[in-house]
Amino acid sequence: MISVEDLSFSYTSRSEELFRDLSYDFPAGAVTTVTGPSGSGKSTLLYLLGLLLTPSGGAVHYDGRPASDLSDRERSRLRALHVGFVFQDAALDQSRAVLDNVAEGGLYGGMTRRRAARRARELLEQFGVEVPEKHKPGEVSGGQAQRIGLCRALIKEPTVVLADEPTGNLDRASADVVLDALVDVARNGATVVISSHDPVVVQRGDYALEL
Amino acid sequence: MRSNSEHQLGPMTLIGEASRVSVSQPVASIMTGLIVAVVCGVILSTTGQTVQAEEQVLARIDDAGTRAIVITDEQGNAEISATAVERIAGLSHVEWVLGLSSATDIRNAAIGAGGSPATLRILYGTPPEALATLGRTPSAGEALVGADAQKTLGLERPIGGVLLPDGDTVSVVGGFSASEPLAFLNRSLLVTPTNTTDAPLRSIHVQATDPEHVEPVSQAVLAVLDPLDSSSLSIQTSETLADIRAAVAGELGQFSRSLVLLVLGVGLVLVALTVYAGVTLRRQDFGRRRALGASRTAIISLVAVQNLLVAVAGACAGAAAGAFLVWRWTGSIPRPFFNLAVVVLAILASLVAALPPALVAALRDPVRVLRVP
Repeated sequence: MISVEDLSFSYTSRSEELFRDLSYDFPAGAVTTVTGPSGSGKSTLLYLLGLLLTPSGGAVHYDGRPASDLSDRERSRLRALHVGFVFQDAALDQSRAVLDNVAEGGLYGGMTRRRAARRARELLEQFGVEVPEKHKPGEVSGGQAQRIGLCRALIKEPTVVLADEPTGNLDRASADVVLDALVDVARNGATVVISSHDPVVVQRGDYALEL
Repeated sequence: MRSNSEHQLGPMTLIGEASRVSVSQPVASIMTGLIVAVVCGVILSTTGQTVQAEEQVLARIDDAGTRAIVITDEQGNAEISATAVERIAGLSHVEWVLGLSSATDIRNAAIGAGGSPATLRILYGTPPEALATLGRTPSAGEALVGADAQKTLGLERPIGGVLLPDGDTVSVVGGFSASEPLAFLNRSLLVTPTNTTDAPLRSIHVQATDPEHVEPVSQAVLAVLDPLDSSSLSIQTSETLADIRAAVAGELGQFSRSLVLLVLGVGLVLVALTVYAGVTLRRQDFGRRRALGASRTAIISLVAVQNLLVAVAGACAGAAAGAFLVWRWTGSIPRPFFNLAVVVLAILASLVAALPPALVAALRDPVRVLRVP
């Protein structure tokens, strides 16, 4: 489980403060959706939960232990081992093959290249990515690209999945595939946090945090 | 939550990932490799030639005797024992040592008193390479004739007999041709000493291992000698030549070093700019890697190893091309050690050049590039 306590954040000293002492628990085994108008800090909250940003005030806790004030090495280690990110635009490396993109998600957690590639093939098959593994991301559809991004996030079997508008660029059918997968991950015990302004996504969640 | 001490990229995974990134970024890789190759090629084809020229100039100066030390018993009163040769040979930084007795006039035994005279000396010590011998090795009491002395004596071949002033004869069993600093011996015959020979040395010729040791070896030789009359001894060294040699080596070496530093410096800047441009273009790549769990150290390692792999390939290609050019221009290739040193220097310079851009990539805020507006 991850939680935030008295959380606040501002990008610069002169920019508007976000969250203003937000305290919230994101339970394991459930999908929590984060909603709110544009600029309310949905993506920023995910980056804070993923320890890519340091709070201006308050703290992020992993399993009750403060994590946001750890060193960069320790925060990277937590991300490498436990956190899977799913981005709105999939954020794939356009110069690398589909298989390499997925396998990369396991490398920083200590997976060997061979093991990561084997696991990547299994996930691509599981999520119905029916493109030759040597194809580049530019050669696949948006729905397929987001599934590739999802496979990359899940390859390390994360305990925390942070999805930033994962269905924002997808048609309904592709969005359902991605949402089903995220719900499945949560049912298997992971903490899943999805930022979205899509009512369908919010309905699929177990808890909703409105900013 | 899982606890796992094994994290980040292992060495083989890092090399594999770096090589895949290099292949996926062909323009940046080729640019960097090309710069390193040109650096190696330019150094080898310019400084490589200079180093060869320097070696040739220094070899010629050395031929003139920069390392030679000659101790002479001017009046013949010093009574230096022949055993001094062995003691001097045991000193540090002595390449070889020869002892010569005083000269005796001899004539071709076949012609007799009417023939032209040459000089005969007893030789102590092992003949060095500068004294190339022909014919068989002389036994005790037998002589080798120098190339000029052979003509003077009228010997058709370096074989025969010579007549001493007391009427005794000495067999000539071969000849020799001496180069500097022993070329003066070509006018003499050299006799191998017998067990009963007890002639004092008239001159001692010492070759130091290098010009820098001429002075200390001279001092050590004088200390080893036990002359009856030290005022009779004179010592000659080519200190002026040694000074010229040092000056030439210094000047040419300085020029070579300056040229290498200049080319390396330019190469270093160009590689740094190329890697920086590549890092700037790959901002999103590094942001994604950070989100996936790459630490700053992992990002720096990735950029450095990627650059290292490309630099190794470029340096090897450049060294081969540079050596080929030198061979085309001079007919010989630079020494392997020089080639290797240039390759290693170019790779190290490339690695150093990649570190600042790698640091920039590692310190860049990943969220800034990952956010979708």
